[in-house]
Amino acid sequence: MPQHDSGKPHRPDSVAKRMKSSRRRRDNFFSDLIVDWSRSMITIINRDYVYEKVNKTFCINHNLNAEMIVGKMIGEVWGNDNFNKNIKSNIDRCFTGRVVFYQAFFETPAWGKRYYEVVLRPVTDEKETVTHVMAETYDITEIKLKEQAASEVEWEFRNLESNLPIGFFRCDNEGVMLHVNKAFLKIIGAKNENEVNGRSLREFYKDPLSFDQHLQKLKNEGVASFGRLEMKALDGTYIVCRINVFTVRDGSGNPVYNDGAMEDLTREADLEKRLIQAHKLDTIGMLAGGIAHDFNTILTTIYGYAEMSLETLEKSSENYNNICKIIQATGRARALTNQILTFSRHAEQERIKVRISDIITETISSVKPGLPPGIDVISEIRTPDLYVMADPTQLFRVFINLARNAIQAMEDRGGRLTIMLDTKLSDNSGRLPEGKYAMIRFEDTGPGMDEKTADRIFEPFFTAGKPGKGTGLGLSVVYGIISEIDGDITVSSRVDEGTVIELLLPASGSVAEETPQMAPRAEIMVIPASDSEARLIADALSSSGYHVTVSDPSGKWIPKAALADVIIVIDNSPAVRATDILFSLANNGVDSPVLMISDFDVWLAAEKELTSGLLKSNLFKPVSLKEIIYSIDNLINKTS
Amino acid sequence: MAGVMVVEDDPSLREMLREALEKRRYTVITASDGREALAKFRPSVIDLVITDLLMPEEDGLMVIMKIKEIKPSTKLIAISGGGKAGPGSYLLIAHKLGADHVFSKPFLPSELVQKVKEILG
Repeated sequence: MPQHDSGKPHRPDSVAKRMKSSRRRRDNFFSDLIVDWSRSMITIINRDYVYEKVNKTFCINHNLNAEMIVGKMIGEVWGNDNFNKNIKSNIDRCFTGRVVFYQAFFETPAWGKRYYEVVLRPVTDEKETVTHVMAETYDITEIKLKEQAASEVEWEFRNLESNLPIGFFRCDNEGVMLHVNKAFLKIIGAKNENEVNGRSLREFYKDPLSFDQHLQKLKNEGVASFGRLEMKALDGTYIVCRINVFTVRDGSGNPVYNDGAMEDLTREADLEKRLIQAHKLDTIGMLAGGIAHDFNTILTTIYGYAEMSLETLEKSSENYNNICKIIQATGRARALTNQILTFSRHAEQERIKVRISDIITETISSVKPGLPPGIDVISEIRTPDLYVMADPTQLFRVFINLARNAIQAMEDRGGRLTIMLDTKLSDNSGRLPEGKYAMIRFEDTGPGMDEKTADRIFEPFFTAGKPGKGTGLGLSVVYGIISEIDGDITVSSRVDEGTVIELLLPASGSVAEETPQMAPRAEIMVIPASDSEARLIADALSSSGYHVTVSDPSGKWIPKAALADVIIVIDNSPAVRATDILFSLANNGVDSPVLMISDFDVWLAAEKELTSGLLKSNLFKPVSLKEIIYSIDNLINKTS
Repeated sequence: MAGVMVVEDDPSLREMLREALEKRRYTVITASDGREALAKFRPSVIDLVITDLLMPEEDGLMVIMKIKEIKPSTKLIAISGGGKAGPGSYLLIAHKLGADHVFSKPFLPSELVQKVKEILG
């Protein structure tokens, strides 16, 4: 630092000169002081890249004396690498007379990693020749690090904003959208921001009136949170969202805009709704199942006394007829309790490997003959070799039920029912465990139904059809059977657009499993071949280890029937009457025991009229495979 | 004539079965639950037991097992209200425990009487 000269002797004769010289010295001193203590490091470099002068700040920053720097080449101080890479070219440019500005990162063993901002100014002599370069260097390491950290934070935030499944949005004070992120676009079903920006959030509310209330709340309180909000995506579908929003204000507290986050809760809400529905159906099932169980006891008593009364009465008497009607009504009550028990999953199912495409084929051939004009039923089998573990008779019952429902819905205006079969991998809705599923869709072009109806169609006794058409138990039975085999059933429908019922059943391997070893290898004949259910039962029995033959229409089956251990006759009157088959068997001298599967009324008639004695056992529709096998085994044990 | 025991907690069904069987000249003894049935069971008199499966005191499965112990030659018919929580699988278990036949309610009593006749020969 320059020394103060106040201690030196004064010469009185040249006061003016002395004062002038002193002023200059003082000016130089001040200049030196400014240069030395500037916050930037200042150096003078000559054409040989040698330091000719350095200020204090440079020395202090580098912890060196001026003598250790002056006279040295830049490369000696900063390292030749740094010199060649960052410094030389800039100095050369400055020697052409230009002011050069640059930022560079230097790493030296002594000072570590530093960022510098450098200004090089050409220094000229009287001939305007650049003789030196003045370098002014600022250490901007701290600023750079902060900048870098800030940009990393910003980058991370941007990353979060664009990748989180949370929709971020900014809207003005009236709710007009200014900016949204990708997730918001995805939730609302937009391709880009242009489809959203400039529109009011109000347009995405299912109920615009609640938007007005929400906006008012936000204006009053500055922050608001709305859970379980029903919103409307761009394509018109409803979604459930949660919105948290707050007002951003300027320095004087005036609202500038609102920032918000929107989460899509549709899936959770849907799952929750379905769980509540399933729970409700289970509760109804338990209640109804308990009642049906007790009811069956009461029905047995009614049967008993009615039968005993019949024995005492003349067939021609009025009371005989009345009691027959009591028995018939009891038969209907029995069918009802059977359905309730199936819905409440109290009915047991024998599960064997079932090829679904077969059931679809049988369903279609069973409904086709009676189709009203203008209605078409087609199948779309994408994976023919798809198997599930189920009772084929019960699955047939499900498919028939769904097909008939769809046909009935289309009765007035015609349409098409498509039964589609495909595989679906792990439904990730959370309703079913992960795995491979058989997906069966019943898609009709009927009148459809509204959401409230669709929500309730699996409830027993709920009917959307015309009064007097069915008991309203059909779909609840379907629900029971599907739940019992660990499947899932969903309905989606829109008024005037038709209904889609989708079944998901856990798929089994594609190769038929080994047949159960326990089943006796008995000879079974199933009649008639023209009946879909008969063919399914024949297949199921054959999978269960029986030797099964099906009658053929030619009549050549009668000799074979005589060899069967058990004959199963399925009544599908009026097309084929079981009683006719029974008479035909008796007339041809066949004496194998017969298991008849029919409606209750047919059985009543057969029991009273049959004299052949062939009818050894009977089951009432709808039957389960388990019941059939149990009855067959009973008949075989009895005769052996 | 052969002796039949009817074990059923529903009084009207119990009475109806008694009447139906007595008409066929069987000696009928009734009980309203499993405990009463075991108390009333006389091996020398009873050839066949018809038992409901779901009953308040000692269920039907217990009745089947105990009677098979007391007198293995006793014939057994199980009846139940159809279903699983009470029924279906109970009927299957009953069958495996040695019931000669099972009936799912509601059944026609004439079928039951016919079965009794077959079993008792």
